[in-house]
Amino acid sequence: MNSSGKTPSIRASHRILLWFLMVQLLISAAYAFQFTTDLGGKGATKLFLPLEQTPLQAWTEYTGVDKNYGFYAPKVGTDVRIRYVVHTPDEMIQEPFSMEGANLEARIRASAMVSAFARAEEFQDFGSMSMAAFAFGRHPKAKEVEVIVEVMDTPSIREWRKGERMDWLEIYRGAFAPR
Amino acid sequence: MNPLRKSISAIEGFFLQMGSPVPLAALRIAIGLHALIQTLLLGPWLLDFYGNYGHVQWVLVDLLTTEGVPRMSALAAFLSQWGINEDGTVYLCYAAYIVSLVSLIIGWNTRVAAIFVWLLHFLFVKTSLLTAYGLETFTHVMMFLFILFPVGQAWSLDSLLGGRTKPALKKNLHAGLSIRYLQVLLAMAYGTSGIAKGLGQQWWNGDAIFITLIQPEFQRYDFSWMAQLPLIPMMICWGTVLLETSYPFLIWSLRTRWHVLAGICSMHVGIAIAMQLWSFSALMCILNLGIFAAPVWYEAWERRQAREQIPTTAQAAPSPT
Repeated sequence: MNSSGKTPSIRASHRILLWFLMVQLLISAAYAFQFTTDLGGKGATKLFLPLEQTPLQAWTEYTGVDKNYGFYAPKVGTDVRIRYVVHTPDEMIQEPFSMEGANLEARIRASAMVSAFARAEEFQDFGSMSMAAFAFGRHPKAKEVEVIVEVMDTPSIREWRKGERMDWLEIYRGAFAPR
Repeated sequence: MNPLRKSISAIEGFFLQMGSPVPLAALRIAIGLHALIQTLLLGPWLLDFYGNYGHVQWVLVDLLTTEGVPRMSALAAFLSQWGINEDGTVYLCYAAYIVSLVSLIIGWNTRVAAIFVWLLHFLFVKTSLLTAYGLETFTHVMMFLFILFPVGQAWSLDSLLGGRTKPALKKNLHAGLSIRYLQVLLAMAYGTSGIAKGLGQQWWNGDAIFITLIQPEFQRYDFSWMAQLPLIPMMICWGTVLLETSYPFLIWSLRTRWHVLAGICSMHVGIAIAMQLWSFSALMCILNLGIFAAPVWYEAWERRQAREQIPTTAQAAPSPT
């Protein structure tokens, strides 16, 4: 009933849109209800539905129904940093990957990219190659670029109380030469 | 009535309700402006993030992208026949995105603008898919829905130029369905986010908050004292899980809605201050207020307007000349 007391007339277009949205909502729920848990054991267990690599994948990406909303779950991430060691014929230059001078939004995005290195091992070789290419662009004389990825080893509350403190931990090192 | 018919009728009854297009217009403007500010902020580092020789080269992006999804490399190859190079392609898309966003915000050719905004936003997200974070998740979902929903019916140049300003503000089923869908989607997002957190140990022993707050990246203040008072991070963690998991249940009743919205918006303000995720937090507050609060506020405003008009009409009536 609308405010004037009349029952609104439901047109076919309303029904088509409604049922299209219902299908989208179902797909969206299938992606949203995929969880990973580390309760009750040491390793993480994936409670996933087999949705990847289906013919519908491109459609789900286009329409945004492939999203999972498990931000910072089941555990939060820690800081990741990338360093380059650039070897030129004359010197060895160590420099961090940073967006010094950039605004907060650009730095957050750069940080998201750097975190991707730590999250996905299968991506580290390709990603480092790409980062090395970026470094070669900045140092045209370079003969070799090493890409070093480090994560912040952060103690839990209990470990902190025992005296442990944060420290950088190297998780990846790759050396790249220009072709 | 058989159970299937009954279910269909219940779904239609829940979703197909009359609603005002004004909250949708408010969402269109707010989210459009938010995306525009984001885009302008990234302008100086455009090629670093999206260029072929930026941090992540296109060849790698292509490897990670699903087939059938738009790629900057493919577009650059297509545009090269007119002498537009790779950097030129990025700048062209950037300019087109800004123009489309402005068009969407002012509501000029709203649906066409929404299609361009959605496609270009998707293209940029896929080109720099490693730099995307939670913000892009919600922006992308909203951009697609803006194509389907009557976001240009009110507060738009389309409605002004079409000379249908007043009827455009009237309640209709299309707007009601749109708002209802967004409400269900947001409720599901928070609900599943809460469940996902609840399945992690760190969210029960307080480590999630402690570890986040002492990271050098987010460390604006020294939060290491929390280790001596573990009950505080633990309570914040439990509160977050409780707030998010209860969201899909408590958001529907007007008696609890305001408490949930106050809690959620406070949580996002906290995230903004502690983790400097101002943009993400602003977007989430826009979504919460636009989807769950604005329809109620607008209806209350309409009722007040109607009440104020009645005495005016009554006064005017007995004075015929």
